[in-house]
Amino acid sequence: MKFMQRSGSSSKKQKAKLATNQQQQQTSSQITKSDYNASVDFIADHPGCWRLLENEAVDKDLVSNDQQSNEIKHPTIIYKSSVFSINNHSYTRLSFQNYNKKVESYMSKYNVYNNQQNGEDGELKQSDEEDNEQITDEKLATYATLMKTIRKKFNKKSSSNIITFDNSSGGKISKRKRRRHKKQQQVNATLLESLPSFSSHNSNNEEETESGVFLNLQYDQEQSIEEGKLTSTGLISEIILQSPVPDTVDDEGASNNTSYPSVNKLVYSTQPRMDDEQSIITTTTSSNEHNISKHQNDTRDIEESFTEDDYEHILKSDVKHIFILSDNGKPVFTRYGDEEKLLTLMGVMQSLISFAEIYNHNQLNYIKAGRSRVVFLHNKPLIFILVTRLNENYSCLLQQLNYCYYQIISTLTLSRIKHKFEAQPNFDLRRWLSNAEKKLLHNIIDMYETDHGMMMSCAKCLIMPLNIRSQIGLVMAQTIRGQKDMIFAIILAHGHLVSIARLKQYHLHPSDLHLLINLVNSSDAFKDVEAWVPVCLPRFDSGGCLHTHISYLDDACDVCLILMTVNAENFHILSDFKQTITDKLKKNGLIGQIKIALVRDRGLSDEIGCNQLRYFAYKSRGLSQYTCSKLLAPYTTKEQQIRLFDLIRYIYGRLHDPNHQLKIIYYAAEYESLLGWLAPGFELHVVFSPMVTLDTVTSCIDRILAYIKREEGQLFIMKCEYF
Amino acid sequence: MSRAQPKPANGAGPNRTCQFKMVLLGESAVGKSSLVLRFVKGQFHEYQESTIGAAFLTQTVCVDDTTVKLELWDTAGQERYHSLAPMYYRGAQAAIVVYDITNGDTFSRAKVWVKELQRQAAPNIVIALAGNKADLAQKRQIEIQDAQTYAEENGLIFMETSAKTAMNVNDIFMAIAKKLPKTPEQTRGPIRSEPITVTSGQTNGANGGTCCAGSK
Repeated sequence: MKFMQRSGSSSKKQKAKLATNQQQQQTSSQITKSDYNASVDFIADHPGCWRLLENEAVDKDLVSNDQQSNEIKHPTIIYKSSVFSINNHSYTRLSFQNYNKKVESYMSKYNVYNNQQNGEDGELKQSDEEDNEQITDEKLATYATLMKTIRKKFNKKSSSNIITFDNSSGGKISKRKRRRHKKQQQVNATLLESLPSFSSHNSNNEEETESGVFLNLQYDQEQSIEEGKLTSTGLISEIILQSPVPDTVDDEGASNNTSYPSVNKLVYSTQPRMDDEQSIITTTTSSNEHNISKHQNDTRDIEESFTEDDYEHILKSDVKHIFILSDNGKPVFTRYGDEEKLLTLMGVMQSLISFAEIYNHNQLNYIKAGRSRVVFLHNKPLIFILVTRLNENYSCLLQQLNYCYYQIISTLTLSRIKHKFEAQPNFDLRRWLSNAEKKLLHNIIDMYETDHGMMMSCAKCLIMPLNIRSQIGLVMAQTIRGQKDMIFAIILAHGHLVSIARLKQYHLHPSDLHLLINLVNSSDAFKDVEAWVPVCLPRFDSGGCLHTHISYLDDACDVCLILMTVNAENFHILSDFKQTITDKLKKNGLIGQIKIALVRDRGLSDEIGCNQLRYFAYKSRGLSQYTCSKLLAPYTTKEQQIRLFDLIRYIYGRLHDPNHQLKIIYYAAEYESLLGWLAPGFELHVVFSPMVTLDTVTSCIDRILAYIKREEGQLFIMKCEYF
Repeated sequence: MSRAQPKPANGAGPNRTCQFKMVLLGESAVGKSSLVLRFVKGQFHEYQESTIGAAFLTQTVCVDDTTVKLELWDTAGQERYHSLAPMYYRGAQAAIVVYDITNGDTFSRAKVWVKELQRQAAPNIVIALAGNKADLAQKRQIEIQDAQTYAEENGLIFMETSAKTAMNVNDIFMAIAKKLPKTPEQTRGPIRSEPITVTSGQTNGANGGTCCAGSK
């Protein structure tokens, strides 16, 4: 038994059809429940997912061998040569376009009947090879018309689409039975070649000799072309359903037989372009047919295909994708593109996660697929997924996802999200995320790529004389002292920490500070007004809000004061504090001093005096603060900066790799040499010109450390003021 | 930009000072922040950023011989902030409910806000209904007559405004200021009474500076 359903953007028009499909789903899921374990039910309950069932008959030996070890070990997730397998179970997903292409060739070869009047349902079954030799012209003509109809329907623009593969859908569906030994063997052979890890499955299959395609296809009248294309452009593009079919089962019996063995295996493959090696599918796909259908698309709806192309382009480009969806597969956020158009892709991701979790209660963390890396983070009720082709370390990528999670909590609070999803599991979180909140998410993602502080989990301070900084801190602390509801008072200037005063027993975690900086930097709405915003600091308390008074202390909006209290009624008190602090700072000329420090913008690297030194970042681990030199040529362009920061993140990842921790790493890259040093008290990242000698490196590092020791008081906040 | 501002209080003239809390409510992107910014600073930004949480501004106007200091709470219109609204309209003596004349939904939402205010807010609260974006009259979805009738039925001050052209912006604020009761004992009490009574004297003094800076 097998089916797959994909649901597109939901439209009311489609609901009736959905209902029919769901009925069929239910039938199949009931059957599934009775015959198989829980993992199977789950998938059936989730629309927009692909489905897989294990075949005990085929995989018996393997499963029994592996399960024992799997119970103890972590899941083995292999994504190799465009096929994807978890714990020796292989997965794939049906993409309509590719399915189309793939099946067409078989259909033409093996002579397929189809009920065209119905036009909604079609089932393909393997036919005996003998049948194939009796192809008549009449049948070929029928087939041609069928293909035309399918294409037409699939390429039509629509708001929704449902594709179900189900062999239990009763008599109204036309059925075909066919076997395709030759083709199957060919495919399997290719699989075997390209996939050593997968070979046991395939050879098993062949021994059974019953493997084949057994698909029941129900497609909605208004099949969207978007979906087909999208899936083919994403990570996941193809599906091959291979099912052992008992020889004795006839056409009708096969579909109605409830105790029928299930789909045993889904071969998971990716778009060839995503992979280093050629995908199997490409070898069997007719490029002509693809072109024809593409041409049809273009002529039918030029505008549509334009947006589609753009979209395809976005998905295939080398950018770092981040997707956020809810537990039940509803899209919440995507870094690029439009969530609506990614429905299917998100469905796949959700089912990947769900399957891994149900299977031995594992967690899916990370997939490496050719050059692509996919990182998963499942913090109920949200799922965060990152797809990148850059050579970045897992821990850094996970950290970036964690920041997204914190950002969402920061605006909505975890308890509120959980509450809402408990009451209404299918809640669309986008209702709570307006453009302002999405901008925050976008900015925190971008900020991670340009700020080492987020990576190293520390804050960057404005470089200024020690006595001025302590005066500012004192002014804040003295003004606020005695107000028991106050928690934090922070002064920021252009995203740098100037000073902080706090209640003695509470600490501000660096990641919380980054969220605050992001909030202030993301919006001009705080300028010229006093803002009163509830902000949740996830590391402080993910369940509640701190009421935050945000205002600028000067007319040019350079210096920002953030006051945080637990009492929502305290606005006027905080407003008075702001006024008092402004007056005191102005009176002592301290705001002017902050501006001087901002303008001065010390480069640091020139003060160290080493020709080969290009850049450094030093983190004091005790203070959780860092400082870095100014980026000079050649890192003045954005591309170069991004390249450099990617490299530094790579070094950071190597230093902090939990499996293989290093203390010092020296990395000679093409255009620069990098050194990363993880010492007990500090962490140092230095970039040199590529031809630097090791002697220069060591002497330069000595100078940096001596310099930082000397200037420590200016570079860092050494002493925090308390209320 | 060069439009004349409401006259700031300059200690010499009027002899009485009243202070009122006023809240702006309405669906997101109807122009609440634009209205306030036009009124307080005389500015208009074509791409005004959406408000996060709520913004607090003050403006002082002269009504007859009384200086009226308005404490304006410009709230965020997004759905997720609706639960916070009571925090802002509690203790408010005046409210402006804003809708967008080019968007029918925002008018129905405005009606909901009016109902909520009549039920939850202070009983003698002065409510004004502002149909903003009057400069986009060619895209109008809400007829001025419909809004007028609704306002009369509910005893609201009604004006169509445009933050872009500054049409009726000062007028609507002035109309509210005129309608507010001007006895100092009455007005000063409720402002602070609920949250904190201890600090009321201190607060009044400090805010004087803010308002003068804002209305130069």
